[in-house]
Amino acid sequence: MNAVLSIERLTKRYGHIHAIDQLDLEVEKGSIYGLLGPNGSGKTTTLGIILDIIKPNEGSYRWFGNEPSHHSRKRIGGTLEHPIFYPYLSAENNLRIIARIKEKPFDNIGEILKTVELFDRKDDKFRTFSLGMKQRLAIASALIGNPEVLILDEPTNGLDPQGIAEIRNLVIKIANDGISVILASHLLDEVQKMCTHVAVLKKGKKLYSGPVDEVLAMSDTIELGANNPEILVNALLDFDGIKNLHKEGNLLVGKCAEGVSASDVNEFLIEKGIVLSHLNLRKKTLEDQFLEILHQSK
Amino acid sequence: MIRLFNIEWEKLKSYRAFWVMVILYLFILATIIFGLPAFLDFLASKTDDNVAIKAFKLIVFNFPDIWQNISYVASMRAFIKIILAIIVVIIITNEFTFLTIRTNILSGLSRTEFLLGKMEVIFMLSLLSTAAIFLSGLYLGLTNSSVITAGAIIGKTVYLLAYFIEVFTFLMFAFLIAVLVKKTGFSVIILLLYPLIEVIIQYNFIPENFHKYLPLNAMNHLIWSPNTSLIKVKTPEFNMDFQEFLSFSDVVVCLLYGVFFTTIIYFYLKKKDL
Ligand SMILES: Nc1ncnc2c1ncn2[C@@H]1O[C@H](COP(=O)(O)OP(=O)(O)OP(=O)(O)O)[C@@H](O)[C@H]1O
Ligand SMILES: [Mg+2]
Repeated sequence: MNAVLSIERLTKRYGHIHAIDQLDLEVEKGSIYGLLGPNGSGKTTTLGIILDIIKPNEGSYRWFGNEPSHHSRKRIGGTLEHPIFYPYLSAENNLRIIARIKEKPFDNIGEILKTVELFDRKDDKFRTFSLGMKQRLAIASALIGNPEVLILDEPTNGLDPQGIAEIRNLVIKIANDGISVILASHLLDEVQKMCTHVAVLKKGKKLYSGPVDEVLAMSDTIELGANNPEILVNALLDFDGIKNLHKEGNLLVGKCAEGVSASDVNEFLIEKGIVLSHLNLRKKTLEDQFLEILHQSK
Repeated sequence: MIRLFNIEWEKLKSYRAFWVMVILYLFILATIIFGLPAFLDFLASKTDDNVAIKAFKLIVFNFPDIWQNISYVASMRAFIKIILAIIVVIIITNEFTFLTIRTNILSGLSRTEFLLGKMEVIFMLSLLSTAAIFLSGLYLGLTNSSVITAGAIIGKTVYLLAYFIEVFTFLMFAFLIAVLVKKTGFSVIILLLYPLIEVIIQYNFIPENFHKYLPLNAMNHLIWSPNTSLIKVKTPEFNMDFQEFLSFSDVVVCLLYGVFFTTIIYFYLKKKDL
């Protein structure tokens, strides 16, 4: 097996709140793993535990197949929640501290600062930075010492659209070099563009995990329209290839069952003598699926 | 060890407030140490009947007693060394208020290494303070002492070691407060109030035999009085004991406190979420 990280039955309680609850997770080498979930679902807590900031109540995790230690953390680049640095030290100085901790040379600090476009501000104190600049520096800090795994907790928080696109490209480029990435994010279209795998958390429990392609293939949304909606609805009652049929404006919207395509639906309706004025297979997004997964768990 | 110190050095070398406080500390220390002989000179110049003053100056700054006297003044309870303790509190609580301890740990520092790194800083601060005492003692002794022989100069320098141990333990105490309290302002207030709190506890809850085992008393008891080998004043009006030698058991008690503080910090850091 090629697991970079494996998490087993991890549980963290704060009083009566289960921040994470019996969480199992496996991240394979080279994957870009998206950790999704609504606010307070336990993403940051999970990342905090695997970086040894938070002590779990139960369960265990392994890095690179071994018992975790501070030595394994030297092979990981991480950011957690908000950018954290010594406010009274310069950007470069802050990065040097991290390089020293990781026992890595300083040579590529300049290079990394250029990557996140902070090179000309390297001598300025961290506290003088804007939110986006702080976020960029956090990403820079994660890149120090050529990590084998990158952990990013909402890395695009506070970035401008250009910055978001740059981070996306950076993450993809990093992953192409064989580095695994674990990413918590609320920007689902970004996750969809970047990630190879996702896990969906809710209230500390894992609702789903798997390759992004599989999530997207789970079901398609179909839109149907006819001059006489009543007849259409009645006709579709006999067709079990569409679930969750409901009205959205003038249209009927539903989920195609597995293996059911738009032409199957069309064929069936033509046999019934119904002519459609509108037929559209909605471009499935991760967001749709995400909301769907959360909805089903209710 | 060097790596841990380099990490801490990287944090401190461009931290202006830290250096300002260190220089302020050294300045106040020097003012008090050099202020006394200057003050005595001033008094002597104001009066013709200055034999007593001159004699007093001579015995205080005579080798080897000067080491005991000067380290006694510099280490008195929570007097001058409180400034060093405040510096320690600030560099520790900074790690918690700015949450930088998290980036330290997640980047690959172990919690034990974090503790050791800070202890190295505390060690260096104690060393700096001891060196300052040593250099000013050497200067004042050489300019004032009536006996300047190698034997006299070296005699009682063991008080410098005791001074070092006392300051180091006191700074570990400040470290402990900072780790438990985490907020800079609160920690400083507790540090400042602690001598008072200890006195209250001492007189209300602790049997007299055990008074000297309370933390601050124990640290303070290492060098508990000045001394001079030249004159021993003892009259019914002035009946005070002077410390003649360093007590081994005092050193052990102080060191045990150092170990105790370190152990609490160690387990606290090991178990807690950061
Ligand atoms: N230090 C703490 N004390 C008490 N409860 C906490 C603490 N940290 C987190 N929690 C709780 O744990 C749960 C999970 O929080 P966590 O920060 O992991 O969520 P998240 O998925 O990262 O959310 P977000 O999307 O808002 O960043 C929340 O219910 C939160 O209230
Ligand atoms: Mg979070």
